[in-house]
Amino acid sequence: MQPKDIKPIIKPFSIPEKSDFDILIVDDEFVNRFLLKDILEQDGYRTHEANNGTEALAAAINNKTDLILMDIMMPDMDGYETCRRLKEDPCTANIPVIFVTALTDTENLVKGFSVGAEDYLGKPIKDGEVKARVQTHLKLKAAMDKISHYNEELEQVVAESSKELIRTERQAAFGQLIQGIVHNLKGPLTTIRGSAQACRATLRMIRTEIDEAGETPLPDNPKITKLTDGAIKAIDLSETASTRLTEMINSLMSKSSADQASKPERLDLNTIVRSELNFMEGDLHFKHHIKKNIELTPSPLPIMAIAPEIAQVFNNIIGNAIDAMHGNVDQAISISTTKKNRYASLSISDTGNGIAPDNLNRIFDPFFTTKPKHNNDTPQKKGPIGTGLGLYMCMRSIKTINGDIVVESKPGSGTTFKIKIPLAEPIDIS
Amino acid sequence: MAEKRKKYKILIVDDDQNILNMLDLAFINTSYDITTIDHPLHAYKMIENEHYDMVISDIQMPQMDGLTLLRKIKNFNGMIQVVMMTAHISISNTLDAFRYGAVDIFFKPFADINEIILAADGVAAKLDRVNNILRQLTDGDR
Repeated sequence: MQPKDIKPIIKPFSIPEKSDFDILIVDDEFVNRFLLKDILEQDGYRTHEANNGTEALAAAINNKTDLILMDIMMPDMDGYETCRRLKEDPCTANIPVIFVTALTDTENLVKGFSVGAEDYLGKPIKDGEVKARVQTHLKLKAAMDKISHYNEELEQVVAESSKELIRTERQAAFGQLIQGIVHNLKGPLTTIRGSAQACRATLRMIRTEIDEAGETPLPDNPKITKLTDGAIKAIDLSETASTRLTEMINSLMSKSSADQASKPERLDLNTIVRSELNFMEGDLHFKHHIKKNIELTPSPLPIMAIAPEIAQVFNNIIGNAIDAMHGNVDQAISISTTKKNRYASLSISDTGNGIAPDNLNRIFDPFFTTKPKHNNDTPQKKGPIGTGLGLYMCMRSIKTINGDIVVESKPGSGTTFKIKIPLAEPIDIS
Repeated sequence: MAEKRKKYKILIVDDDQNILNMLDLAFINTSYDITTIDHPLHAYKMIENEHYDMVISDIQMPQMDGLTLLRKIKNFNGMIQVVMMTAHISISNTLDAFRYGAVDIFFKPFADINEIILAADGVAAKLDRVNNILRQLTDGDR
């Protein structure tokens, strides 16, 4: 097992420099503000000032604020109330608040902490203490920010993975469902088919018996001949239908079968494309009404795949392209193959109506279709069963051989399907 | 065809009664004596109590899997010729059927029901030939 490439799914979080921090100083006394501002700016922080509680609330909301140093005793709105309101607002709740106060008795300190303050600085202010406390709380805040940043990223990653998982699970369950349905269809189909065949044989025997009984030999008994011929014709019809049904069921079964009988073999992608195009020329609409630009690489593109599956994918996407251009004046399909970075790539573009962006990432989901259902205007689509499964089956087939299908489309300017298949390893001649 | 031969007895086993009815119809103008049964355990009881020359059995059956029935039949009497049929087309089913002694296997839905009759005819021809020799070996006891 090769170690899977681990993508850095979570963006790294860098710890800011001191000069990146914005500290808001709230005090009604100019001298106190000046003193704090001086100490903090010496240490390299950016500072902002507010005269009172109201100004502080506005500043904290409107400007980037990493920490608030606040006086308690202020006119109108005191520090406690300002702090309480800051902590109430989710936008400012995470900004640490340090009270700068002369009221260092237990009762006042408890009150400060109860409104959500992180810490306090006693007055008179001491240089070193201010620097130390501010630094501690900024570090703490940075750590908290880092955690919440990672949390958010993680939540996103988890959400994405869950989505992917649900998709995969649903597709697997769907595959099993098909197996079950198909298997259950086989019983009645065996009966229908066998009965029709047995009935035909019996009718022939009846004719022989009548012939041999001899009173009025069959060639001279037009009534019986007509009746038995009619019955045999009716049986032929039901047998033809059951043959078609059997083919559909078998193709559906082989597609969704885990117990895949056929193994990928070495094929030339260009040869498959050429022979399928040749085959499609049988469709007169495709032959006469659709302009085809075909550009295949001059050299073969060896891939490891199951020929009927690739043919089916090709057919399906071409079929969709034809449907997408239905009714348009200029109908053109461009088909090209290229070789790039150990991958063979087959590109199929149409000049149809395109796919709405909302639908683009759902087109490979089972049962999703943009085509109207049961609409006689839509040309009959080739595929295992009705609409909504074609591309799902295509994606499955291509994923099995480690390839991928990418679709680009703009409403009004057509759709391009790009099928990428790994090139087969060169044959070792030794 | 013209030559009169022993009327071989065939037991057909499938849990789907419709398929049994259909096969019964398909064999309507053949020289075989057809019995059908929709339960593999009953089928085995019948084989123990009564002689059958041939068994045509489904593989996927709820009560007992047809491959197990095949092994039990072959163990009981190796002369009984067994033809398998299955809707579950897989390599393992096919290989196992032959490994355990089936003479043929048919996949549902059958391409042509006549092929099963032809298979029965082939088995009958083989039994004719072998029985003939057995008769000679038991001192021309006709």
